[in-house]
Amino acid sequence: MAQPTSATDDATFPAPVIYEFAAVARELLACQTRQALLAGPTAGTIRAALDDEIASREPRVLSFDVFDTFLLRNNKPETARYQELSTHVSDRLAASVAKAPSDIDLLFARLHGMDFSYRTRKAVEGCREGHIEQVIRYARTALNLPRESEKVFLDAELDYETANLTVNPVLAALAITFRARGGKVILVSDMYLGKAEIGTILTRLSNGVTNWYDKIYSSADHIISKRSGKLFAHIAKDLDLAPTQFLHVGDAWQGDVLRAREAGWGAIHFPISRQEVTERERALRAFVDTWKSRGHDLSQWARL
Amino acid sequence: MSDLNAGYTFGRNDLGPAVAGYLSRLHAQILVFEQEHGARALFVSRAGVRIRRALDVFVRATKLPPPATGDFFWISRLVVARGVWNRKPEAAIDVLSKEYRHINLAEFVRGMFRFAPSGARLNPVDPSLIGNGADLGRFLSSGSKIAEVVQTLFRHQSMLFEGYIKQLLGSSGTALLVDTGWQATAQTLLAKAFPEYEWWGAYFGRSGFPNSDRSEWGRAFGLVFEADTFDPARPETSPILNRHLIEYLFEPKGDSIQWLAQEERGGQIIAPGAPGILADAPTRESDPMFVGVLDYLASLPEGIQLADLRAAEAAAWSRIARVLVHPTKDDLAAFAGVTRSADFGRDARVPLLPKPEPRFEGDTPDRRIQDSLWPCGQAAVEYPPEIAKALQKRLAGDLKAASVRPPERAARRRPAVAIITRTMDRPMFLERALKSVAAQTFQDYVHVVVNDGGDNDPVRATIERTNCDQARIRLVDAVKNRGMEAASNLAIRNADSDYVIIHDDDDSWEPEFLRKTVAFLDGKQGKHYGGVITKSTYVSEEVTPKGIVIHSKAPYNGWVENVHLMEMAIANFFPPIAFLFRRDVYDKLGGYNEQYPVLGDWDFNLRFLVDADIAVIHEPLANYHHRDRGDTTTFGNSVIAGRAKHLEFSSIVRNNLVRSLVQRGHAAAATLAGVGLYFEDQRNTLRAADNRMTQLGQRIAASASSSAWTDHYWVAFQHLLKSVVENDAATLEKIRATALRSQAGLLARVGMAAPAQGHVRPADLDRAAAALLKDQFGRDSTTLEATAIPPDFDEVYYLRQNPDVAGAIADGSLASGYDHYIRYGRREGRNRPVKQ
Repeated sequence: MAQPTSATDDATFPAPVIYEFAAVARELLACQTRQALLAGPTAGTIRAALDDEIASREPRVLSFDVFDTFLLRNNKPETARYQELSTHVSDRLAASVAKAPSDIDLLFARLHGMDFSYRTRKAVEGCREGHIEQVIRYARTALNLPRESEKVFLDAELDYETANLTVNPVLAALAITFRARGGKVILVSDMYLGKAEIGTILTRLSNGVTNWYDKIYSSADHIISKRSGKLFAHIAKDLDLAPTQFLHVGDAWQGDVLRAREAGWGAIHFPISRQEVTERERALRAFVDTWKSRGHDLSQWARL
Repeated sequence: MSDLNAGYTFGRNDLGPAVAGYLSRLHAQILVFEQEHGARALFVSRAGVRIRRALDVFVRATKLPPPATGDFFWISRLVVARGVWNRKPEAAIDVLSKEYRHINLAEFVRGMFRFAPSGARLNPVDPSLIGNGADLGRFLSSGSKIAEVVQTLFRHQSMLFEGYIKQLLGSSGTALLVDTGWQATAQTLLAKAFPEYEWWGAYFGRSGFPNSDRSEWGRAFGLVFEADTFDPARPETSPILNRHLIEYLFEPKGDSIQWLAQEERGGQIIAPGAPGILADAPTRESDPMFVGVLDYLASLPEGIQLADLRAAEAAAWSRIARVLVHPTKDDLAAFAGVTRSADFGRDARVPLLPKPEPRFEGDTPDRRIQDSLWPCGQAAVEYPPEIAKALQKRLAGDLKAASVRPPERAARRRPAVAIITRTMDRPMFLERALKSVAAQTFQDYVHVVVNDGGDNDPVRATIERTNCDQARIRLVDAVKNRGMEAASNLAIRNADSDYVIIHDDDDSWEPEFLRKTVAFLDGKQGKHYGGVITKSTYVSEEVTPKGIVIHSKAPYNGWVENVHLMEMAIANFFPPIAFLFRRDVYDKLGGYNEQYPVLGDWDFNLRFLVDADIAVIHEPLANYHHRDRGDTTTFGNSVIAGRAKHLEFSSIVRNNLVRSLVQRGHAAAATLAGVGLYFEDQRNTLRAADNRMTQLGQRIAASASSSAWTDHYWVAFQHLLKSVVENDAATLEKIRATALRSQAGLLARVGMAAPAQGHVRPADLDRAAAALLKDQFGRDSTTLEATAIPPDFDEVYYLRQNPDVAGAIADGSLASGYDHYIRYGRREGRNRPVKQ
């Protein structure tokens, strides 16, 4: 609900009244980092606002986006993460193959593999998505590595993600409470990692906590995605519930909020702060420039 | 350097690394398709022969595992077009009629049988052969003997083709076609005709035109590039400017495959033309470029170093792009003697770079450049370096990079854009405006909704229930009505941002509006501008009990190319919804003038232009909605509903501007603003005169169509003359005999009324004239040899206006522009130019 705040104006007219909306999202947008905000003294305000929203909507299912929402990332842009991950894979492969490819070779193989997987997997209802297994198979083939190396790739991927993610303390606590009251919690992701891989990462980060969620849905498994809007209807059908029974929380405006609401779900925007986005943009530019100076132009794959 | 050495060096040093990068991706693609999809790689002739050869050299040098499959697919576009005949005749006709559109049907039929084991005897006077390739569908369904023979050939070839596919693919349901490119035409045809298989394509490049069939492009990989136009930021797209370079590189000696046959023993389906292509044996003398590439590939080290390959590839493409976009005369040495072959059953080779000499009367360097297979190269042939370079820049198109990196800028401390929406008691429009903003792909904004004295509760409720990003919305309730401009100023002051834009509650945007306008002002190009507009669309709509109904859309002031202060002094010519501007310019101007109940945006724009420039993005990204039908008073725009006020304030705004400019010492600007009204009047007068001239011209053109009569009689006369000169007694006798017959009967046969009723122009002039010629000479105008050009026909102008015709003359398909006009141009509605 919009709350009026005070404002000043000239004497000819009455003072205008200013209203702001969506207090949770506004606070998240304005903070320095979400990690700091959600671990600090104002985390309680965020939690209270979410509780209010749940109380007013009374959903039966609470749904969270995974990456950058339920699990918080640091400010390394995506392409830089792929390159770091490639370094990990290269180091591990050195232990098992005669001549391990370099990190930059692995990065190129991965980038081509992602494109290949995305384009060659059978489309479902007009949606396309890649899968990490296929990405790895392409990279392994392109680099002429033995089939056994695929396990090394996947283990390194999961280890790297685990080391670079933290659990969102506010949302995790909310999930536990919601389930304890009889509600269902689902995690929904547009990602090339399937539910098995996401589940492994969550287990590794859980420190023994087992009651966060009931089910994971990933576009890597279903092909249909949040960003197309179709995954929401699919989930509602799968759980045999009306769309209005769902409340989804996510950082992506289009995929987590606009599309969810168009599908009849309730949705709360949990955005990345402006400061964090700026930091990621800066890191991405620096990354591209560094590799350009080494003779490799990665600008066509530069992603936040 | 000799031409041979130049070609070899170019191949080894530049094309070699580019091809190596391509082959590394092709190799991976084939292996993964084989393993993941059980696919069979098919190397499509003719280019597939050389691609396979290059891949074999690459694999041997790097010691990578070879593909498990890799048969040659002996086809051409002609073979595929005929091959799909039994399943998709309409698709076959579509491909063939496009390719043969300028070729007469007799020539088409000859082409179909040129390499067939047994051709039919062709009766050139068969009436079903009237027309050209564009008439192919009609011809094939005409029921004529010739059409039946052609159909029989098609059916047989199609049956063999189907067997050939089964033979090649065996139990595999998936084919990966390997070829140079570009539009995946064969792949698309195969996918449509043989949907029981999955057809994928691995091409050197994938590129098309606005009317290209892209239905299968999701399965067509361009391994070097996927783009329709050259992007200077991506030099690997430079082959788009000269596709023939890659096609020539991979084109083996040997004719295009024309037909399939079945072996008597064993029943294997073969392509009789295949041995000729397989015999391709390039040498440094015969194919220096390709041999240079092979030598480079053979020198690659063992193992796969993707990053090194890519770095060498990227550097090579920069060099190649320079040669393709700005070739010098020295660069052209590598391309000396390069010719390209035709397809579709035609014998022709066309030089890549014709000599700089006239090909026909009226030929010019500019015409040769236009017709050339490589315009940038031909420019270097025709002109000295300094002229050639400027011309090459223009030929390569707009050289601003399409793929631009996000601009370098300091981190923003405030939102990029303040979007200002003024509203008062119009929740239906407000909801649409909120959704328009929410759909933007650019999200760094604050959306200030200012309620100018209306009921605030519905505004709050609308914001809360609409699917929009409420976190970015600030509602300013003015409490009491202040007027449009005061409301704008109030809203702008209640937000901080780098840029500002007025998004009225009844207008809307395309989703990319903010991303493109902000990127422009953030970037190097926008640095010197205070603001930017996009093109706008006028949307005519009506409010009905069922909601807002859109009736039509059209460009709004589509003529806007730039923003002149002089033009603004005449009238405001862009709406607020299209105009993003810098906040600091707004601050300097002191904001909107709150005195004006209407035209406040015009006043703002005029004062803006005295201080800063406004750029134009030539894409229609803003929608300017007008309630110009039904009840225009309740929901009308001020321009529609408030016309009287507009008239009143147009003089006040202009007068005030002149006064304030004079007071500030801007006498020149004041003069411009003052005389703007005068220029508006002059322009309206000129436009009215121009309209009358156009109408007059149309009437003249209509009466000039009677020249069609004279063309028919000119042709008839030419042939009569020819019969006399050649002493063609049989034809002359026929004319005499026909002339002696009843004149009325003859005239009736060609559709004219009897002389007693006066001669009436027949309804179907072409048919009448054709019948006349056939009756008199036993043949029709479309199969006659070339006719002399009449003295009033401006041949040079016709060829200049119709470059496709000049191209057809150059390759020998037509004798002259007049020849084309008589056979096809008149029917196609092309203008008949009259010599002055």
